[in-house]
Amino acid sequence: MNKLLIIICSVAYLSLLFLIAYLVEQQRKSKSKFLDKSWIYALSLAVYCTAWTFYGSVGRAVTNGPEFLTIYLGPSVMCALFIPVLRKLIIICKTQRINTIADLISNRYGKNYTLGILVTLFCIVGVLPYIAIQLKAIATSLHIITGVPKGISPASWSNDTLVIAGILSVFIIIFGTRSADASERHEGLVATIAFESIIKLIAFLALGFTTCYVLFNGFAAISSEAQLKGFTRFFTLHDGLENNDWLAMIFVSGLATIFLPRQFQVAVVENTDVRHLHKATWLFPLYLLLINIFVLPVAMGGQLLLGNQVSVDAYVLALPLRTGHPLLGLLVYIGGFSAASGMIIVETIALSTMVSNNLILPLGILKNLAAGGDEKATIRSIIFSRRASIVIILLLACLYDKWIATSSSLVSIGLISMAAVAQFAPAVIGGLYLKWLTRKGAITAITLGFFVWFITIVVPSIITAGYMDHSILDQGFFGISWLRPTGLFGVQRMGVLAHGVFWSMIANIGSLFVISLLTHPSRQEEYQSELFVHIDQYIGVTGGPGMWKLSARMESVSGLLANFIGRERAANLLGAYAQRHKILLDKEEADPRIIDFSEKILTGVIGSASARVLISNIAQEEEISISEVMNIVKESQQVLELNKELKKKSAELSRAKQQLTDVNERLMKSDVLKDEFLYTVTHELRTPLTSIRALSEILYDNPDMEEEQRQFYLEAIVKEIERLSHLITQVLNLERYESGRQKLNYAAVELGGLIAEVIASLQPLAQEKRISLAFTDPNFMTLQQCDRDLIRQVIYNLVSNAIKFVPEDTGCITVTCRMVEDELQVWVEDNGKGIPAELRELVFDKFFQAKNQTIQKPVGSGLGLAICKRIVEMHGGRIFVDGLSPQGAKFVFTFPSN
Amino acid sequence: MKLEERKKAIYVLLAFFMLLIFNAPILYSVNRPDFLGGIPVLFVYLFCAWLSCILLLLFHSLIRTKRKH
Repeated sequence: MNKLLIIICSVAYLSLLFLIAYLVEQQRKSKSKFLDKSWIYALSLAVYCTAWTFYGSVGRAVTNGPEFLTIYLGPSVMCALFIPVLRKLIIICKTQRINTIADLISNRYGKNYTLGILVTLFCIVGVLPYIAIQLKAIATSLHIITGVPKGISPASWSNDTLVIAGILSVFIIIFGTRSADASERHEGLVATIAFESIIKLIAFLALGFTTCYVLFNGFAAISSEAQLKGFTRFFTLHDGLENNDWLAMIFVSGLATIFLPRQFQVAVVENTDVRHLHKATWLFPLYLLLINIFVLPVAMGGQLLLGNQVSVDAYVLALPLRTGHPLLGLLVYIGGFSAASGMIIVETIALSTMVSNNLILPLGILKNLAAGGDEKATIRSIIFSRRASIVIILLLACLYDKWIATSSSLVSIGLISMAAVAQFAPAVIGGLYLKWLTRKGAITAITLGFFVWFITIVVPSIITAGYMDHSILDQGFFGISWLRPTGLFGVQRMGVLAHGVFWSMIANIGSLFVISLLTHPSRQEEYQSELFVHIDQYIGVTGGPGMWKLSARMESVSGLLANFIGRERAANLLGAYAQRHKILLDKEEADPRIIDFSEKILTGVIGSASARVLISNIAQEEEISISEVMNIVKESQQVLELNKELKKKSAELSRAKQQLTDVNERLMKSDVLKDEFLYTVTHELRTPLTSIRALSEILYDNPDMEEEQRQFYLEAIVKEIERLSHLITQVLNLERYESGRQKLNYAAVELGGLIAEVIASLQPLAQEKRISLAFTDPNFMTLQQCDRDLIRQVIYNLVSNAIKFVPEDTGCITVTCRMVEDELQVWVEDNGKGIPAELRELVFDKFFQAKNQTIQKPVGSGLGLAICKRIVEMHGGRIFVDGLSPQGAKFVFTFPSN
Repeated sequence: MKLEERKKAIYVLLAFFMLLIFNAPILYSVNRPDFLGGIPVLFVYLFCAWLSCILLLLFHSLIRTKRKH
């Protein structure tokens, strides 16, 4: 493809990364919540998948079959195991403002300089080749896609590597070193890493899909063709399982998910919320699964179509280009560029912070900076040292790429780096859970572990590359057979990696435990071990066990802090802290908590060991025993407990207040209901009373009225009085049911007989209207426990209601008994005009008829259904209007099972 | 056992379960040049087991989130 086009695409892609980083930073400043940070966090962990995943996995699949999967199964397994460890690490790093793995180990073992330097040097030795192969991968892919002719000299490749390193260093410097405070989060940068993760996944999936379904007829077709050609190594594991390399690779790749500097940077330092771990637990392994699902088909496809025409690591890019898919080739190139650049960016930031804090600043510069009065110059110097570290690291990587990394495959260098950083695991994980581990133990463990790693893993690969005498592999160092790099102490039948990991871990863990048991920790180590192991107890406690009985002048403390973070920011931070903990800042002597806080701020800028040295320079330390420290902490914890207790009490009071408010609301509602009820009852009572009074006055004013007419009026008065009496009786009954004063006289009642009896008593009324009234189940024989009189009233009310509502002559009422599941149901159906759906609930309200004047008012008090409802509920049953009845109304009441 | 301890224990158990299914002796039983629907049986096993583990992790993570709410 055209080189200019590729360069334009690369620059455009880099510009897009710049834009994303810039926009996310702006969004952070405006505190907008457009992006879900938990997704960004989980996707940024996929920086684990570098060029060796993108190009190297296919290469390894071609040579070793499915063994490449271990590098991704390991992190998936460890994802579950490391959640508790990561959670603890994140809390420690946040509270202590730790920002590199070197700083973490140094901080745990008494803020020790030696450990910080050691870890930094080992990180450089272990990880620099890894950065170099990423640069090499970008340069190689650029050459493949632009079609550089065969035979091009490695020197010109390195020139391209240098240009790529230069462009990337500009990006890293702009977005990775904005502030002197290294503990500040790089949210824009992390967002670009997450974006790159998506791009590389899309690119690889597109390639896999094309290989499977465009170049071949599916996965099965590739497999069968590979089988026909005799490429059986794709289908099974051979040596990996036998020589324990499989297990060793799972182990080291799992540890790499935390201990590689870039993984530590994104997983711990850049984490903004511990809860984001929950999503990462499944999303990160899912990402790894997806990016690997097409590796085997692509490897088989590459082997079948390209064979030995290109290097196996170049199959990924060569496959689309050689099969006439240039656009896919471009996408794959961008994906590979994403994979490599993401790794280089994060790894370089992490390493540069380590180099700057542990190697450059302590070289005499630090004390000069602390003494200097020009704070801006100091901050500039720190940022400059970090930027210089970035340039130095990338230059060293270019040099490694030019002179050394010519023979190793992508994956083998990656595995060597992973095995290197695994040497930090015992000191870190042990340091989180075992208080008795000491600084001397940690120094010996890491040094010995690295030494054995170098002998057993690096030396064999150097020998294989032809840089050392091959006889060492057969005869051992100094001709001693049990010092053979691949068979130490006569241990055979293990792969190089398994052998190296086995011996380096034995040396590492063994020396850590033995030396720790033989040595005593210093006071500072005791403080730090207490803090690390019991970090949960110190969350929210001011000071912590590392807080000394220090005496220092306030002016010196604030001056020191201002030198490194600026006068304004120092004043703001100290002011806010003092206000939060009610500390007076205008005293001449600084409060120990202020000194401790200042040290933490400095830790974020220059690392814990350097911060401790600077604080020691301005403060007089009084010896304080661990028991005194524990007392201080206990007091703080008591205050915290008291606060918690007060909060609890306050919450209880709030709950009680809410309950009172609820009760009050209910009472007010009851009051309104009572008023409404009284109004309705008096209205209902007044109607017959008015009639009685009018009729009586007519009789009184007309003494000479004819006998027949007088009789008519008197009958009307008697009817009205009966109606009045009936209403009062019903009101009294209802009041008795609702107040609970009505006791149920339970007895075994033969329900069929009771219904028949009620129907017989109402037959004259039905005959009067010439309507049909029937009980459909006269032989229904069920004994039901209930109050016979009250249930009789329910049936009577329902049937008499139905009689009122059905039309004369054609009216038809049926009563039915049914057992439905565990319920005994009684149905009263009629063919009247029915009840609209919206009124089916309301008909059981008191005085419903009276309140609904739009409905033609029949004879009755409007309390009958309300009474029925109450009686049925007293029996534990239900009453409702069945909405499924096709015409008329269907009332149903139920009894629970006996 | 406290809730926090139980959560940790479940994560550790999940990790050991995953370590078990991705290693010998289970892996020995599927490490043969057979095919399932034309796809190598080892490949099918590894990806199915992997996906199942991810679903377990997702399920556990969802339970934790719900409890938190």
